[in-house]
Amino acid sequence: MIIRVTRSGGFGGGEEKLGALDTGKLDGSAVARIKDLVGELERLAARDQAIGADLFRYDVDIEDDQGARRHLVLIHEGDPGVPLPEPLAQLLAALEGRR
Amino acid sequence: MRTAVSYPRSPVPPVRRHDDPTGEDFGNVRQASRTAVRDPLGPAEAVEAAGIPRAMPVPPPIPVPKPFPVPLGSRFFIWKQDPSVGALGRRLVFIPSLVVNGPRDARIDTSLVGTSPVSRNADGDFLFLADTPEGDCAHTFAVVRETLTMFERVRGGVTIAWAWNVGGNTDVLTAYPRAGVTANAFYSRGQKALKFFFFTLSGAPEPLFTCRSLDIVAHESGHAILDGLKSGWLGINNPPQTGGLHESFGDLAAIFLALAQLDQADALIAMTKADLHQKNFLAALAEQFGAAVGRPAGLRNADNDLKLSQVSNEVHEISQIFTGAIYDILADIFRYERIRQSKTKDPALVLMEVGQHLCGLLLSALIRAPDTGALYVDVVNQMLKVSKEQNDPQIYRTFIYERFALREVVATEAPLALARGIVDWRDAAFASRKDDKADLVAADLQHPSVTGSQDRSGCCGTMQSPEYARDQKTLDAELKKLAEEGVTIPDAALLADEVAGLQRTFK
Repeated sequence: MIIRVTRSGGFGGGEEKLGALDTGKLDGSAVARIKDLVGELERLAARDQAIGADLFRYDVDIEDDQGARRHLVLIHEGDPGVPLPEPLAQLLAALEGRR
Repeated sequence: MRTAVSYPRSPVPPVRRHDDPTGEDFGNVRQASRTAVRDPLGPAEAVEAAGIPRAMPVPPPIPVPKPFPVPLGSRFFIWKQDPSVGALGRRLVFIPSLVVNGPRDARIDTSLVGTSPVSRNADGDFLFLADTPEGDCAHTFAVVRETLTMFERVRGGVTIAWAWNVGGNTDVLTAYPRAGVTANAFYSRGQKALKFFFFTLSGAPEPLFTCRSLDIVAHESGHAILDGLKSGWLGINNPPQTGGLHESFGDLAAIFLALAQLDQADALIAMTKADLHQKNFLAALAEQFGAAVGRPAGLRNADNDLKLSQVSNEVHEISQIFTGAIYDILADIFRYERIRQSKTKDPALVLMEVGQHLCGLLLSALIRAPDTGALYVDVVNQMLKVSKEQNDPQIYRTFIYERFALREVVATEAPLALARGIVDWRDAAFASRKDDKADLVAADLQHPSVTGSQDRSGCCGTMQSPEYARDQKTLDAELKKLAEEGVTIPDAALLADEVAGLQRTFK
């Protein structure tokens, strides 16, 4: 499974590729953890999200081992006082760790 | 030559009692007339002292009653653009409506922990130094209020509800001038808020406060206003162009707000010699923020030549197409009107009027556009329709069609006159299309900005608000009582009648 995350929006606009993760290069427990995170992100994306303008938008593209693609969108207002949803924060941390 | 010592003074005339039916006290006026007599001899007394007979006695001065009640309103200092546009700086503005400590009124509140509510002075004004939290609260409130008022005015005074003002809800929009540390500003429907952040560039002596930019505050206010009018546009599955319309509206709100101020229009005319395509502060949006991220001509620039095929689907980027076309149309209509009215009006006044006209035309078109999934071509067709209905010169519609055709938004029907340089700027009926109809089609319906999805979630019902009437008499009476007796009326009570009116409006 390959996961790519892009952030766009904010007042200034623009897009930033936050990174990609290939689970084929991870050990079994890490893969299971990433799959759990993706499941949580899917549930999160299906719920009502923040509505507004100049918010941050996280596009998560998931390509599974059979080549099927999924696309999730998560919105975060970008208020530094409000943390990112936990699954998204964990996924970004995992991406950061792979850089 | 006349001096007080050269001639004998005429006797002080007896003070006449003015029988004023209103019962007003004109003591100050009588005092003023007495004072005037004690001054060195004026021409009339000199004539009298010289023995020249008067044709008739000089009537006593007619007292001019003070206007009553005292007009509502407060003064604020605002940044004309932002602190980086030093030539323009700050100026005093008058907000002609009731503003209580906060600053707050019936529609907008301000929140800054440790600072708000900011108190108005004895004259009801909010005048603070630029580099203070109080100054930031005052500036932010004033610009949000001016933006809302501007759009309500072009709609004929109709109240524009916030997106949540349904079912009698009168909750205000709260502006947070210093919401935290990050390089951002946003509008949140859920929080009913505009949040403006600040940040410090490495090596910079002081932070950059986004709230100090007229462009940024007007931009975010524009989002809140448009969300009140078209709540489905921030909803799920809208194509990128709908998001682009939102972003463009924010930038255009800043442009129209600057054009609504005579001193800015005047400065613009002088700077550009009445050519809006010369480099100028109006087209440059969020100059200080832009400079901070390495864009010296503004974070975005409305005077751009971008076409649909040259931008990505990101809503800010794609918004530049729509904003650029509207800016070109503004420049075109201004050029036409400036020529037409060259002998009768100052160009700055013509520019203000053109700005107001185009602002109204655009707002009407946006309101009429589809409630969800609106595309640029939808708004363009509505602009053509509204323009025709209000009997604009046909050349206006030529500009609208051609500018959006040049940017690959609408399909071209024939070689474009603007591109060929054959526009007759003196011909009100100049047309480059066969029919004066609002039936343009998108240049490319398969363009990713049309077919792509933003996947945003959730939306709620929108509404349009009829005009409401405030009980001015009651408000005036309360203000009079406050002024005369020094009685402190709670701010909530001052706004109560207006809020009650809004409750009836926001059904």
